[in-house]
Amino acid sequence: MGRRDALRSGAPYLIAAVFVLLTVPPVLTVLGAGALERGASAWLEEARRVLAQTGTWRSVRFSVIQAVVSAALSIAIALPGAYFLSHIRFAGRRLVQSVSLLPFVLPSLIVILAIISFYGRSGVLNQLLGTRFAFVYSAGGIILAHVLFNISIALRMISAAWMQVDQRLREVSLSLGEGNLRRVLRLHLPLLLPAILNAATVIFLYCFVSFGVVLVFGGVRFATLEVRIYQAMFMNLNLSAAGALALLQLAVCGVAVFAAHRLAARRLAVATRGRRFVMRSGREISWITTVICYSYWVALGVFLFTPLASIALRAFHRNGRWSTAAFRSLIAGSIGDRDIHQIIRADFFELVTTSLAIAGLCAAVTTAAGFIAARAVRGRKVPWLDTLTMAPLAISGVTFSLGLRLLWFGIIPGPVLIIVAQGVMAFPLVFRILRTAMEGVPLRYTETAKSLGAGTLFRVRTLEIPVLWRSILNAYAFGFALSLADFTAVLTIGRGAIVTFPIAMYRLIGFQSFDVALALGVWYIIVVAAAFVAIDLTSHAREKEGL
Amino acid sequence: MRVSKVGVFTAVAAFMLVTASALFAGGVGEAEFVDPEERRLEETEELIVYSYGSLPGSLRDSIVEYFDREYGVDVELERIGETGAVYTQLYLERNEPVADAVIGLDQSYLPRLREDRLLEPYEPSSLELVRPELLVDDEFLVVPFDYGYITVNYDGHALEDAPGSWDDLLDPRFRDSFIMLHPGTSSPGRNFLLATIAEFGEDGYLDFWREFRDNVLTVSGSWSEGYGLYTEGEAPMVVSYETSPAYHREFENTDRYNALVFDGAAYLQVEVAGIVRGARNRRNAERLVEYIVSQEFQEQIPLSQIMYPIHPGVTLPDAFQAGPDIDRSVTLDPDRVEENFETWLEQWEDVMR
Amino acid sequence: MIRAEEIHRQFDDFTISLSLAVADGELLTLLGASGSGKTTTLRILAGFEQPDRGAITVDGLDVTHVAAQHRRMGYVFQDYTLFPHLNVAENVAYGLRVQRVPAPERRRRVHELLELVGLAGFAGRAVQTLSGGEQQRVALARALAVEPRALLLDEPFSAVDTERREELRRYLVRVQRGLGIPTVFVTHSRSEALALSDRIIVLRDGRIEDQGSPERLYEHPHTEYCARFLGHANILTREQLAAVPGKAFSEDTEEAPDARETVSAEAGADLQAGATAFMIRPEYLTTAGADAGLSATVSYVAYSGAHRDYEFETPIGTLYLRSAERHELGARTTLRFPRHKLVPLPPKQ
Repeated sequence: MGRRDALRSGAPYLIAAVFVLLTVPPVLTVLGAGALERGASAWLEEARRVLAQTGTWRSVRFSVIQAVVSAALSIAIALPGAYFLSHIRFAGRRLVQSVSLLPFVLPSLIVILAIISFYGRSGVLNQLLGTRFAFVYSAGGIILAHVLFNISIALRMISAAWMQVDQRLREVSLSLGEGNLRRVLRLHLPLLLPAILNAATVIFLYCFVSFGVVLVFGGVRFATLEVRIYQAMFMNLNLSAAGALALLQLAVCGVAVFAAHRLAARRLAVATRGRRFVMRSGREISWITTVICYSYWVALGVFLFTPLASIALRAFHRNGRWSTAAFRSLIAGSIGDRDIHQIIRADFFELVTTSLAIAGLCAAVTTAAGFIAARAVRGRKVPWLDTLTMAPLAISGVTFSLGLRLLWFGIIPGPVLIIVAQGVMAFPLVFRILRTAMEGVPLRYTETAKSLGAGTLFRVRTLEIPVLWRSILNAYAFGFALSLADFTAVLTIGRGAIVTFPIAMYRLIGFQSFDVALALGVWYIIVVAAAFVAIDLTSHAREKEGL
Repeated sequence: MRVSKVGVFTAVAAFMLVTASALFAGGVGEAEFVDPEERRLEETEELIVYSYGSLPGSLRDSIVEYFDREYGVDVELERIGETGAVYTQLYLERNEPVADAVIGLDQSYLPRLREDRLLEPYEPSSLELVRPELLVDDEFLVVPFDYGYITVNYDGHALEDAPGSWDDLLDPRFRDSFIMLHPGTSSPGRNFLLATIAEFGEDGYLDFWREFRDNVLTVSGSWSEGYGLYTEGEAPMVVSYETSPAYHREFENTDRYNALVFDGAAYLQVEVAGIVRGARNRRNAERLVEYIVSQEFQEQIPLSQIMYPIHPGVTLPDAFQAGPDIDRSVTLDPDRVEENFETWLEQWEDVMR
Repeated sequence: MIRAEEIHRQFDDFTISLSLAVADGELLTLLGASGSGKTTTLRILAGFEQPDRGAITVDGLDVTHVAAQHRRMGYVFQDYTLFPHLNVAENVAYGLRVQRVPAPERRRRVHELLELVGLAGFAGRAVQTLSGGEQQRVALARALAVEPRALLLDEPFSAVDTERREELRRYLVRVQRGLGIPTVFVTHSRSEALALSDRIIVLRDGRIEDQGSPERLYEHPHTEYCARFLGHANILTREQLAAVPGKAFSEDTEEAPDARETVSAEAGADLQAGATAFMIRPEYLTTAGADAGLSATVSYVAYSGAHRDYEFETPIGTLYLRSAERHELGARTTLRFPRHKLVPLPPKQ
């Protein structure tokens, strides 16, 4: 066996080792402290006590149920959208793709406030209806918020896979006289199952460890495991209990991810050989399809953006009256006689550059790492590695960031640590997007390039990056979004010295300046939307070159 | 699939590194530090302070400027997430302390602070005038920093006839009118639960909550979220500080928001500061404690922290004068709380479910 | 000259174990059923797969451990595998960019190559707009652009429609002869193999079943498998043959004495002595008048222009015959066997 073969077969272990080295020590630093402090038997005793509590299992059950329902609903709602995005060249397609990511980048507090300002008891909807329904304060509210957050994951991941379904398969099905709906159900859904399960797993994990949303809308009735971990760690200061609960959470998530893998592995990956898929446009689309397509986007737009719009409008209110005072405050740099700089510790320009620089770098590093890792295990089935790399989604961000800071602060500069923390948190999603995409490109391209004498770097530059361009940007966009929205890592590691948009918004809210925080939120949305449109425009510019 | 030597090697290496780092992280045994008396004589040029994330920038600046001006000392003030995270950080670093002082823990952490031996005692020179009930620790592991009361806040525009007593809170006319903060994740929430235990006793508080739960619209995880819902008009009442309305009076010129105090009694929360055990810059840490209790610093507390200053010489701004009178502070013994809180919380969760 | 010396590669359910050599300018075909290991052998030569044992040499240099990208062997896939994000000229120029050939030189070479494969006007076209045959010619030009030391072709014509295949073959043969480089061609189509090759290796379960010139393999296969794989064959056991009346054997000496010599030279008398079965191609059986041979009845006819394919029922079983003569279904006649066209086969293993 040659050296290259040894490297190749060692690649998954190498990736796993790097990954474990990055994630495990920080988590152990925090959660393992309990075990080392009091000794293993005391720790086990505490773990047994925690696991014997009915509340713990109630939380597990609720976490699983709401996460499954949220994932299923997100996907069901996103499926038609993914079909339209991948099959029909309709006006506004780019816009839809860019903008559907927006809820994803907002700090959860803003999304929560947005949902409340629209669906809440005194929200826009209730005001229009003249009612005071409190439906958001229930499991319904939790699921609503989760769907709103995660629909863009389902849209992007599924439509990307759908575009790769072999045109000939469609044609075979057409020739067999299958109707559109039947074709989707009997041909496309089975082919897309791996992609759907992929998206479902990611959404499941995001919902499973959801914290803020669950507390606000679920109250005590619906506490997730994550809430109990937080409680044990920061309120009861019981690191042993927190460690035991975190292990339980990791185990449940691990089982879920592994099960999804097994289910997906039984299916063939999307068949990508053969003719490139041609999107329908112009006269090829029947009027009825056009109507359905546009109605769908309008409905989804209303669903996703009315809450955001209503909270944006809220920024124009002060003391119950229409006012641009909040924006004037931002520009003037003061609220009443209080200096805004005193509150958020940064001027607007600094805020924009810091946020964009951290997010841009983090996304670039994570995408590069994901690309390298996906490339190293290309063409191989390594379910254990695919499961392992999902772990950050099941680890609490506070715990991880705290451990990272404890271990490395003073050795590695703060901004770098923040990027590492956010990068590890974003890695699962970025890696999945790139891995799925890479598996979809036939190995023969690489082999052809090899036979033409192209070395690794040359192939990456001239072949792999151009062919995977869309997926790379997709991964980049998610990395960017996750980093921008991150609050925990910046706060825990940066300790107030580094200010990004979410930190500034939380600070303003902490000082009860809601309207100013929301005015800042409006600016933030504008900046982010511009960044996304730029990212997606790049993708489409490349697309025209013939991809 | 054939497993190569490289694969086995990396797997083994990874396992060893993980184990090693776990051992390293835990630290073994308890460190012995040089006697504080010796360290206090040493003049150093820096001071590292931990506090929670929401400590106002103006207070931070005030401390930094003061030390620069008076002693030429560089202050690094790290604002870590929530209070619990500050404690966890101190705890995990207890054998190799980084910080010299901490600002912003509250009295409920006292039993743990004692047990985990995280702080060193220091009694500043100018505490004579401070109200005795604020001196929560007679060994001076901690000194008070500011204080406030946890009460029910209400929105005068949404609620014309505010409740006048604890029993009144149970009236069905307030159905879905109250935003509770989760005692498991929010300090004010925790203190409000304790307030009900103080009021109704360990035997009676669950009955209160059993009746009250229909009036609770939701339980928020943090003060920011809960208070956000409240000012968005989702419910007219929320758990907050008795001083919260002062903010709206001072900065928004509205007396729409008010605090409720039943029978002139309210649950007291004292925020404290202390010197970290083994602090390398012990002398500067002592200066910090002195500065924090000084009138100069305390003058800034009301309008930045929206809390009461501990120094009786500070004149309160008008916005603070308008609040209800509090004749009697209520607290539970921190040791008793420490011992029972997990049980109380679990019972409360069972009732609220 | 490429050599594969005793290369060996173990898979879960099958093993490749063979040696081969291709001379400069020679076109060697690896022929076999699917799963016989022909594509894997080609991939081992290209460096996409590593042999467990054995050596690959190019012009005497050991390249066994040289990575694919450093072997300079042009490889053409069955489904062209043109890079979808590049146009025709960019695809052809890809390998030249690897070699950092300056742009003007690159343009000149691309132009030459496109002319060589008859696609001069196609430089700027998107690859998706080309027909299968055109795409395959681009793929060939792309492989040739780097002036490879060998050309490896993996069923290059199978995805091209039949009418274009003929034309494409001619391009290939002309180009390959012109360049004088060793070429290995993988196919499962016997007609393609017979028409193109200088030499054919028949693979079966990862081993060489037989090899030789197309004519030798067709006329005088050494095994029954090979006999059947290269075309229709009547296989007769000694017992069957013994039941054929003596008058049915003809001694036609005019026909191809050279082929006869080949068989005696290569197989020798031992083979004939040990033979348990004999093969005769359907086109060598002839019909004769009544009582002049083995009596037979026409049970099937298929007309295909230049000739007809027949099945005859005879006392020794069904025999195939290919002939331009016309016989009606059900007609009775007799069959004759030219003795020197009976090829002895070794016992089955």
